[in-house]
Amino acid sequence: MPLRKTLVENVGRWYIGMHRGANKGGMILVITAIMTASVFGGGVERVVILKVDGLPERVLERYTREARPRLPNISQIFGRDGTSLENFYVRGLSLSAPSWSMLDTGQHAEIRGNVQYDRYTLRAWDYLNFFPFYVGYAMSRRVEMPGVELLDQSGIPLLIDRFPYEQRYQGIQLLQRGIRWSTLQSGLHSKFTSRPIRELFDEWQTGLNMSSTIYEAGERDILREIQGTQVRYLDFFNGEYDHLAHLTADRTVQLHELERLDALVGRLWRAIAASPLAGSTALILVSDHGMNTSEDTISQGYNLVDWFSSSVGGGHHVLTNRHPMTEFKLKGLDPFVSEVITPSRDSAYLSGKSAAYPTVVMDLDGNERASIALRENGLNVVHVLLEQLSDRRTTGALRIAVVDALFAALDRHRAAWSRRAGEINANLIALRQRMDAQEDLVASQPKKWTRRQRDLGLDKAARREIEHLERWREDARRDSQYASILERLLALTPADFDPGKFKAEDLIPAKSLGGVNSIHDLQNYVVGPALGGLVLTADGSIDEEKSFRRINYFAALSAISVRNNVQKSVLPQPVESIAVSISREALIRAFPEEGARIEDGVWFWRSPERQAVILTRHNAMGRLELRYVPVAHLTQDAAGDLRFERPEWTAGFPLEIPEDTELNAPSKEWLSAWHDETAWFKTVHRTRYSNGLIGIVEALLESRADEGVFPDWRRGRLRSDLLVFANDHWNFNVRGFNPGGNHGSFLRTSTHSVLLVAGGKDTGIPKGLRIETPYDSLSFVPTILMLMGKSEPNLPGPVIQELIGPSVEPRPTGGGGAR
Amino acid sequence: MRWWWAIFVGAGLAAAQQDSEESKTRRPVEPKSSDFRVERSAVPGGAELLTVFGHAAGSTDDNTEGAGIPLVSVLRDTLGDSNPENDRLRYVWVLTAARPTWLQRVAAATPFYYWRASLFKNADRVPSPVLDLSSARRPVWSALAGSVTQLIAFDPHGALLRSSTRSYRNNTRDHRQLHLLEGLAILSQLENAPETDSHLTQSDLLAIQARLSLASQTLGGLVSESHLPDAYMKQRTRSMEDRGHNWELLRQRAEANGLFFEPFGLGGSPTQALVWVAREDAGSARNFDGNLLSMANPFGDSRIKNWTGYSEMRCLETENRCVELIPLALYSLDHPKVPLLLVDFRDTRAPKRREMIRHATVDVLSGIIGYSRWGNWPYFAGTWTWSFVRSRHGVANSRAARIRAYSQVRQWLAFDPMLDPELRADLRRRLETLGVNPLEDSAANEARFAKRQFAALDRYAQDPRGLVQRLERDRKAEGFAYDHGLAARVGLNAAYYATLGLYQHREDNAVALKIRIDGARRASRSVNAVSTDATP
Repeated sequence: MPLRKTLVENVGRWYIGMHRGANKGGMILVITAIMTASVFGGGVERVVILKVDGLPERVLERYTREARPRLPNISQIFGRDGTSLENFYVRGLSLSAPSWSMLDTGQHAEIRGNVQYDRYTLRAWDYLNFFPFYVGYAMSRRVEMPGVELLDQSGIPLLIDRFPYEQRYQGIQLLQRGIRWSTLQSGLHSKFTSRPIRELFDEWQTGLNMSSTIYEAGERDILREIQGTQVRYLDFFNGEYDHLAHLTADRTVQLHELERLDALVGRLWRAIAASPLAGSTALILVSDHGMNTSEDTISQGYNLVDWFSSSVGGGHHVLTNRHPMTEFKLKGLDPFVSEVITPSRDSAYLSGKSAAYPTVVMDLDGNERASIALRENGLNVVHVLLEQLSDRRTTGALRIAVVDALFAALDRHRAAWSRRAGEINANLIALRQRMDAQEDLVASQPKKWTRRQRDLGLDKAARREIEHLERWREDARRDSQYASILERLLALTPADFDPGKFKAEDLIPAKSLGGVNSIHDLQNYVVGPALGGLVLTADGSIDEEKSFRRINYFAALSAISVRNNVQKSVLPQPVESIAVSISREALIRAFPEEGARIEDGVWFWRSPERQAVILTRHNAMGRLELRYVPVAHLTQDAAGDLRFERPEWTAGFPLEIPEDTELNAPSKEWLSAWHDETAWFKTVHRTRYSNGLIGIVEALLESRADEGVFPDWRRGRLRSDLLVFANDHWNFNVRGFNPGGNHGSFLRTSTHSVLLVAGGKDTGIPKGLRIETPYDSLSFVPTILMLMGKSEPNLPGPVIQELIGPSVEPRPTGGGGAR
Repeated sequence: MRWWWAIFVGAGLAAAQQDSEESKTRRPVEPKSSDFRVERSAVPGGAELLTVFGHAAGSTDDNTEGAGIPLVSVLRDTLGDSNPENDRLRYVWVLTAARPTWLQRVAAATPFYYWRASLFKNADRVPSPVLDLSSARRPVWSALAGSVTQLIAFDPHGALLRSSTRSYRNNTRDHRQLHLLEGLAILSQLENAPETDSHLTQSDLLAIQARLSLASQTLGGLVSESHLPDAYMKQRTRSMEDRGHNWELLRQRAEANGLFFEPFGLGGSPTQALVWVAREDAGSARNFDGNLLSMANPFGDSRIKNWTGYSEMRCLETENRCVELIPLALYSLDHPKVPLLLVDFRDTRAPKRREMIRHATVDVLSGIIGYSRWGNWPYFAGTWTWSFVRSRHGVANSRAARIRAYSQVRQWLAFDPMLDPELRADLRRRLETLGVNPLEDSAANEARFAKRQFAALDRYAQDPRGLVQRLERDRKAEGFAYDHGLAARVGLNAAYYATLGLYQHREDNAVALKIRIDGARRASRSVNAVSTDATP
C-alpha cells in the first residue's frame, strides 16, 4: 500500500512540476526516483536512527577492522549483516549545528554556525544552548530548539516532519521539537529510587554522571517504543564521544566510550529483532562530522577574542555567545547566556562603550574555524568622525574639515543605507501584516486541550504559532529601532553639529554591525583615528589615508604566531586560511572570459602568494559547477574592482589539491576547468582537505536557486565576514580548552563521518556491502525516504543508489542537485 | 609545655640532618633510559610476590647492581597452582617509605608542626602493606571508627587533646594517601610496558589501580568489585582531562604573559610543566596577569635581574634569537581545574607557606575552636560557599589533589631520564621544603629505603612464621566468609570473645579449605564478569 501511494504522490508532483515549468533534469530525477522506489524502495516500514555526534569514520574503522574487533556489535550488525559507507562526508563546515541541520532536512545549509547573529540587531540564534529552550518549554513559551525555529521560518521541514506526530519518537538533540518530560523524570527516578542502594553508592563514589542518566532514560524509552508498532520514526542522539574527544585524546578512554556505544547498538538491534516489525525495520548509525583527535598531539588553542581586543587586532569590543574561560567565572554559571561582550582596553574610539558598541562578533564553537563578523567599515569611519565632533576641542578649521569628511562618508554610503532602511521598512509592513494574521490565528486557537489533542501534538502546534508571533514582534521592534536610527543618520545636516547638540549614540545604531564588509573593507579596516589624530591636507580637508588607523585583516590574522609551540607536529601559526565571499558584480568584471554565467565566488587566502578564487555557476541541467582559479596578491579597490595575479597552480595553494597523492584527477589541466560538483567530489574526496572545495561554497554562499522557495529575506543578515580556519591541531575555543581534539575545518579527519545501515529481512538492505562511492550529508534524507517509499524528488541530494538496489541510473553524488 | 619545644627542636635537628644527607648524595649523572619492569618471586605456601622495579634517573644508588629500585610489591595468592582463574591479589606494599618512627608519630600529634621529623629510620623493619586488595573495606571501617572515637572520646576534652589527636589523624591519613598515590603513579607506568602482561594482566593492573585510587577516598573501599573497571575508567578520564586542560591553560597563560612553557612527564604523558622567563625580557616592564599562575610579576623583578641559579640557553626559531631562560615555577598538571604550583623558584618557601596556612586554618578551626563541618551547619555552608567561590576563581582547594600532585612530582623527578641533572637536583632541593607532614620521609632517601624495605619484605616472605602464616590466616578468614553469612560470622566471633578464646570455630583442613576457596573464587570471578557487562 505505501508503495502505491508513493507512486501516485510522485506522479502527481511530477505532473504539477511539468506544468509549473520545472526543468527537465528535475523531471528525469522524478521519473528515476519513481521507478527506483517502485522496484526497490518501500521495504522499510520503520527506521531507528542512532545519531552519534562527532564520531569519526577513521576511529570506528580502526576498531571494527581488526581480526578480533573491539566493537563486535557494530562489526557484525553493520559490517557483516548490513551496509557501510566508506566515504561519507559532512557537506560544508564540520560543525554540529549546520551538519545536523543538513542531515535532518536534506536541504542545503540554512544554519551556518553554532550561533548566528542578525547583523542589524545582533539578535542571537544560539543553536547549541538547551537551557533557554527547556525553561521556555516548561513555561509554555517555546516549543522547539532555535535551529528548528529557524528552519520552520525558512519553510524547511525536518525528516521527522514526514511522519505523523503519533508515529514519531525523537530523542534529546540539537534540532529538537518539544520535550518528553517523562524521559527526564524516569531518568531521575531510575537513578535515585529504582536502583539498589549499593549501585547508587558505587556510582557516587566513582563519580556521579548525570548525562548518562538522561541517555539511559532515553534508551529505556526507545527500547520500549521499539516493541510497539505505532511509531515509525525513532531517533536517539548520543553526544558523549564528541564531548570526551574534545577533552582528551587518550586512546583507552575514547575506546571505552566506543565500547559503550557498541553495547548500545547491540541492545537496539536485539530489541528490534524481538519486535513485531523486526523484518521491516532499518537501524541506521550516522555521525555529523569527524574529529581531529590524535593520541600523540594536544590540540592547542588560540584566543582570537583577546587578539581582536588587543591593539594589534584593532582594539575591538568582542561579542561571543559564551564567557571566555567560563569555568573560572561565577558568571559562567549562567546557563541562559547567549551574549557576552569582552571589552577592549585598547579601543581607539569606543573606550567605555563596550555594552553598546561591540564591533566584532564571533562564533568560535566547533573550534577549528571561527566565523567572524566585523562592523560595517563605513560605520566605523562615520563613528570616528562623530566622536571627534562631539569633542569640544575639535574647533575651527579642523571641525569644518571633520564635518565635510563626515558628509562625504555618509554620501558614499547614502544610497546603500537608504536602500537598506527602505527594505527594512517595506519588510516591516509585510511583517506586520503577517503578525495581524498570526494574531487572529493565535486568538482562534483553543485555550484548553483534550488528551487526544495533546497526543496528536495539536497543543504544540498552537504554541508554535504563538512562538512565531512573539519572535516576529521582537524582530519588528528591533528592526524598527534600527531603521529609525539609520534614517536619522542619513537625515543629518551640517547645522546639526553644534557642539553639545548631538550624541553619537543617537546616530549610530547600538549593538549592530550593519552590512557585510567587502574585501576592500577588510583589507583597509578602520579601527580608530590614527595615533597622531586626524590629519589635514594642504587644502584643509581630512587626509583619509593618514587620519585613520587601518588593518588588513588577511595579513594580520595570518601573521599571528606563538612562541610557546612545544609540539613538533604543530605549526606556530594558528591561522591556516581565511575565506570570504566575493560579489557577483566584482567577479564578472574580474573574469570577463567567463561572462555573466558566473553566479558567485569565494576568495580563499592562505598567504599573499597562495590564494584561490572559487567560481560557481549552474549548468544547463541545473547542477552546480565549480572552478578553482589559483591567484596571488588579490586586492579590491574602493570601486569594487579586483586585481590579482594568476600564478601557476603549484603546491601550497588553499586545499592543497594538486600535490595530494590521493587526488584522483585525470590530468593537471582537468583541475583548471569547470566541473560539476559530483566530478569534483569524486576527484578530491580522499585528499587531505576532502570535499573542502564543495564545503566552502556550501558554507559561504547563499543558495541562489532556493530563492522564492524559502522567502525569508532575513537570512542574508546572518552572514559573517570572515571564515577563519585553524592549522592542523589548532583551535579557537575560548570558552574553555579542547586539548583532545576538534572539528570545524575541511580536514578529512574532521569531515569524514559515519553512515551505517542494517535492516530486517524485508527491508532489502544489502548485507556485507561496503560502498566506496562518496556521498555527503545531503544524501541522508532522500535515501531514508526512498527506503521507506516516501521519496521526494525535489530534494537536492542524490539517493545512495547502492543501498536501494542495483544501480538503475547512477544519480549525481555529492549534492549534485540544484542549489 | 616544655616537651613541645623538645619535639620541635628534635624534629628540626632531624630535618637539618636530612638536608645535609641529601646534599651529600646529590651527584649529577648522565640520564639513563627510564624503564619499569615486574619481577616475580615465589612465596612458600602458594603465593607469589610481584615487585615493580624502576631505574632512578640522576641517582647512583640503584644503578651499580643494574637491578633498579624496588618500588611496589603486590602479593598474589595463587593457591599454589598455575590456574589464574582462582588467583587473588592481596597486599600492596609501597617500598619507598618505611614505617614512621616514634619521633615522627609524636611530631605528627603536635599541632602546628609542619616539618619533617625523620631522625631515626625504620627502613629495616618489615613494611606494612598500604592496602589489602581483598579487604578494601577494612580501612574504611577503621577510619569511621576513628572519626567516631574522635568525636565522642577526644573532642569534648579540651583543645589540647582535640587538636593533637586531630593533627595526628590528619597526618596519618595524608601519609597513607601519599603512599597510595605513589603506588598508583608507579603502577600506571606499567600500562606502557607490554612485557609486564606475563606477570600482571591488564585486568589485574586495572583492579589494583582502581583500588589504590578509591582507597584514597573516605568511603572508596566500599565500592564493589564489579564497579572497579568503571571506577578505573572514570578516574583515568578525569586525570587525562585534567592533564590536557592544565597543559593548555598553562601554555596559553604563559603565551599571554610573554613567558615560556615546557611540559614534562613519564611515558610521554605530561604531568608537570615548567614556566620560564627570558632574562632579557625580564628587564622590561610589561603587563602581567598572574591570574591562575599563582606567581608574582617576573618583569622588573630584581630577583630575576640578579639571578644566579639554574638557567638554560635556548634558541627560538620563530623569534630568530637565542635567550637565557630562567625557571620561574614548576606546576603539576594532574590537578583538578588549575595547574598546582609546586615550586616557585624566586620564593621556594611560598608554596609551603600556603600549604602551612591552609593546614593551620584547619587546625585552628577544627582542632582549637572545635568546629566540625558535620556538627555545625552554618560552618559547613560557609566553608562550602567559600571553597566553591575560590575554586571558581581557580584556587587549588583539594587537599587530596595536592597530595596526589606531590606524589607524582616525586616519581617524575626520580624516574624521568630526560631531565637535566642539574635542574633535577635544584628541583629536588626545592621540593624538599614542601613537605609539611612529620610522618613523611625525604624523597632523597627513597632509593635507599626501598632497597632495605624490599630486603625486609623478602625476609618476611620467606619466613614460615611471617607472610606464609599471614597468608594461611587470610585464607581461613576467606573460607570462613564464604561459608558463613554475616550474622553467623558475628555470632561466632562474639562466642570467641565472650569465652575469652576458649571457644574457637574450627574449619576444615588446609586441602579442603583450598578446594572450597578455589571454587568460590572462580564463581566470584564469573559473577563479576557478568555484572561488569550488564546493560543499564
